[in-house]
Amino acid sequence: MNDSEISSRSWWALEWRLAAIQNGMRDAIAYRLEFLLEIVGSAAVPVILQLVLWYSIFKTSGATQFAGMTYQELISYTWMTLLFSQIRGGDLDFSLIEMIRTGTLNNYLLRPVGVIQFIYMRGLGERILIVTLCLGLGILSTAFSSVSPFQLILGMLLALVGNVIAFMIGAALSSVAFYWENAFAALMVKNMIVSLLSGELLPLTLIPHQYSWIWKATPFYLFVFGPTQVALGKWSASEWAVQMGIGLAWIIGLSLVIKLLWGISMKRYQGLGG
Amino acid sequence: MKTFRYYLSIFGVILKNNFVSDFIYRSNFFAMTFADLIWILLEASFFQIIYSNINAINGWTRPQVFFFLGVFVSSETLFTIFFQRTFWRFPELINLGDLDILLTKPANAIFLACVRYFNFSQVSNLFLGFWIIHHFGAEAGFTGGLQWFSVFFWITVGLLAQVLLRFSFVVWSFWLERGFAVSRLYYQFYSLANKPDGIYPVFFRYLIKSALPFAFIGSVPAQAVLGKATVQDYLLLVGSLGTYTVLCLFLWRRGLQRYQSASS
Repeated sequence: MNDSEISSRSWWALEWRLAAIQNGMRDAIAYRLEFLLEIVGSAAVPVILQLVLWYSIFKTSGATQFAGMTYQELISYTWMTLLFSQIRGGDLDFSLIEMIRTGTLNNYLLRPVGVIQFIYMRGLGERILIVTLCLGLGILSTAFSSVSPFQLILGMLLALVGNVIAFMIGAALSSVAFYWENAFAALMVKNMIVSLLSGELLPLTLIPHQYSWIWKATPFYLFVFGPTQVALGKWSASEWAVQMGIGLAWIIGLSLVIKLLWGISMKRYQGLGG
Repeated sequence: MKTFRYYLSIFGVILKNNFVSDFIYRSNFFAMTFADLIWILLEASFFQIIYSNINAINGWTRPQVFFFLGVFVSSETLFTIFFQRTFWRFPELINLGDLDILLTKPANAIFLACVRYFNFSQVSNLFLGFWIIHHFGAEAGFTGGLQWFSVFFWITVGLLAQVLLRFSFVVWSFWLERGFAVSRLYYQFYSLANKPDGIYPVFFRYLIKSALPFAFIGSVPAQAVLGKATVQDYLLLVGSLGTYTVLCLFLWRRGLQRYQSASS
């Protein structure tokens, strides 16, 4: 292979990924009202519910501390999760199982791109819009709080690593669709567990100490809880570096798992329909 | 009576067809049962975490909250069995033009649109809901015996509340290109239902008993069974669900006028 071939291949590798991201962005904003509804629904409502819960515990029940956290700390935590829970989101794994189930995976197998990467890149387009919005709002909010923009950016980087891990876990699990007629339930279970163990519903420090190994043993805390701790200054820069390392190790491990599972499962795929 | 029998026979046929199709895909059937079991466990874990740090929230003790959870789970499971799949696929009915077929059939279209797909994988979770009610009932003030009739009545009220609420969200599919966004929005608001209304501040308490009556899915029914619901609660229930019924029928009719029969 000569230099021009290598250069042409590298350019193609970049070109299709950028095109997929652009395509995802266009698709996301094609239906603006629905896009807005989804952001408002998935961001505002859970935060309001959490704020209401903390209000009830502290203001109406008269508590001064809850699991060692003050009212102000819980409020700050909740506002910060608003930003990071938007980054971790996405239903791309549901798209994968639907493609396997209906046979539309065939169309993607014919293309000269990796199917899992292609789906991720399309979803990344939509996510980039949301990340930009969240980062903008977050940086704006630093003017009115003690959070530094630097800490916020570090938190965002950790959340992006969490976003990749979230997709990879979903992609690995969606290989179940090659064996089951519908793997919807498997992904639903995963999402439910993630919502609790990512720290999106509650700060993970509220979980009694003897059960803390449960959330520490999974990478889910890197989706929301970890970035929030970094942004709020609860984790130092060195702790952030350690967690980034853990996150990258999960990515490497999961990429091997995906390669193995999809490699075995594709042999079984019959490509009916589509 | 004749009309009732006619619709009952249609319901029976749909029930039979769904039963057969559910059992063709057995692995998915058991996986769905497991998924909902996990959902119940996570709901219970949420309250367990909260109550491991505090004794009561706004007067709601741990057994009372778990009793509420039992009522809520039972009502929610009934909804999942009979309506969840249908409403999830409701936007497709409109956006893909499948509603055409229902409109031409010799039965009420709104009935056919709301009773299409069942989900029998949740039946076991209904018993789990009853078990939670039974297990935490005594400490919460539930005496059992004839009071079980009250439980059955109130979880049916909870089911009705959820059907009306879900319909009022999904009916907007007539006006939206992607109705799934509204479905997702519904499930975000639905989080208001899975906690007892008593733990919310006053404004929210009224909100979920009037404009967004999610409290009638589990919270008010649980209090009614325990004899703690007030006259105001009952009045709000009748007023709110009555208004929602009128609103749903109005929106359905307006939606049908707008419907363009895309597939035909």
